[in-house]
This record gives sequence, structure tokens and C-alpha cells, in this order.
Amino acid sequence: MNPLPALPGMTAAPAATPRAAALASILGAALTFGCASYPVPELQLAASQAAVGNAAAHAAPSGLHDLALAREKMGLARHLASSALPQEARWLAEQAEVDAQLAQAKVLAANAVAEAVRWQRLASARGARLVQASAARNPGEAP
Amino acid sequence: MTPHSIGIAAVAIALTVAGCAMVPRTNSHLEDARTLYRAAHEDREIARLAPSELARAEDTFHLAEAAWNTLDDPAVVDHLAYLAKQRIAIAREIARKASAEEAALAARLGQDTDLATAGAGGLQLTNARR
Repeated sequence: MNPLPALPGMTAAPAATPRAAALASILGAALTFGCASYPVPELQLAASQAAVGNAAAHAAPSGLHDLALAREKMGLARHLASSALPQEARWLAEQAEVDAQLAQAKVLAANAVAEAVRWQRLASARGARLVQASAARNPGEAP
Repeated sequence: MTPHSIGIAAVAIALTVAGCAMVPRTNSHLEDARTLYRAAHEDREIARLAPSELARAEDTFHLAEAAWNTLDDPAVVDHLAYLAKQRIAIAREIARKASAEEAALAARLGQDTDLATAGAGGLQLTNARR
């Protein structure tokens, strides 16, 4: 059993069983790495928490799935860090960080696309009005 | 060569063959990451608009590949492949954002140009009437 292989699949699935998959993965990770010794990844946890906070500040529908995933992994990472499983905690925190960054990037991209569409519509409307005005000024010429 | 050493050699060969047979030839997460990486690498817009994010995704993908090639723990490969896939997706989104910003700017500039043209036309018309 791979420790974290189910977690990558969680992004593809519509969050149907993320908790069960994550718990199963963590159990596998604990069995695999339980005897290893790693320091508690305080810096990674802090960086990931900051990324989740940034993504939450930009929360919008396009990023909600990835943000929920990031939050869930962050919670599990904290739990594992306090359960003497720092290596697994670091992995989950790293995944939470990229999930949160992706959530934020999706929202920012969606906002930019909406803004571009708005400006293009304004430009089209302005162009149409200019054509009409030109035609009105010069009724003999084709537009 | 004694029968004993022949037996040991046979067992060693059998174990080697069995060991090689048990090593999986592919890792689905790594293959997914490879597909996404190639697509992103060939996308000129991503390279143009999100070069640093793409470079970071590439670094992570190469780490995943190295972990796979050095027979690191499959969980490590899966984890790194996951990070690579997400970073490729981030690069894609950042490129999408930058592209939309360019389109918005072009539309705004076009509108300003239209206004300037209309203003100049109006000015010429006014001068002609004088």
C-alpha cells in the first residue's frame, strides 16, 4: 500500500471520499515511515497555513474544491505533526500548500477572464456606436 | 564449481529475476505528471506568461523522475508527482490570468483608440465647418 497515492487522486474526484482516502493513505504512511525520525516541519506548516489563508482571502467558486482539499490536508498535517509523524505531516503540508496556491490561481484567473470579457464587450459596444455615428454623419457611404 | 555453489548461484539468479519482475514498470501518478509536463512544456503561452512557475513545476517533475529512477519509495514518487501536477496546473492558471489581462488591456487600448479617433474626427469636422 502506498502511503499517499490516494491523495493525488482526490483532486480528480469531486471530493466524494477525500477523508476516507486521506486517512487510509496516512495509515499507510504511518506503517511505512513510523520508525523513521524527522523533525517537526514547523516552517512548512507555517508556509502552508499562510498559503491556505491567502487562498481563503480570495475564496470564490472556481477555487472552492482545491481550497477545501487544502484545508483538510492542513488539518491532517497538524494532527500528524502532533502525533509524532512529522514526515507524513510535512508531505501533507506541502500538498496543502500547492492545493491552496492552485485554488488562489484559479480564482485570480477566473476574475481576470471575467474582466477581459467585460472590456471586450464594452469595446464592441463602443465600436458599434461609432459605426452607427459614422453612418449617420455620412449617409451616402457604406459603413 | 561444486554442486553447492551452483545451487547458491541458481538461487541468486532466481531471486534477481523475481526481484526485477516485481518492480512495477510504470507509476500512474508519474505518468500523469509526465503527460501534463509535456503538454505544458510545449505550450508557448505558458512558457511566455508563467516562466518561473513552469520552471518550478519542471524542477519538481524532475525530482519525481529521479525518485522513480533511483527506486525510491513509491510513496515519495507519488508525492512528488502530485506536487508536480499541481504546480503545472498553477503555471497554467497563471498563464491564463496573464493572457486575460493582455486581452483586457488590448480591449481597453482599442476603446481608447476609438475614442481618440472619434475625437480627432470631431475636431476635423469642427475645423472644416469654420
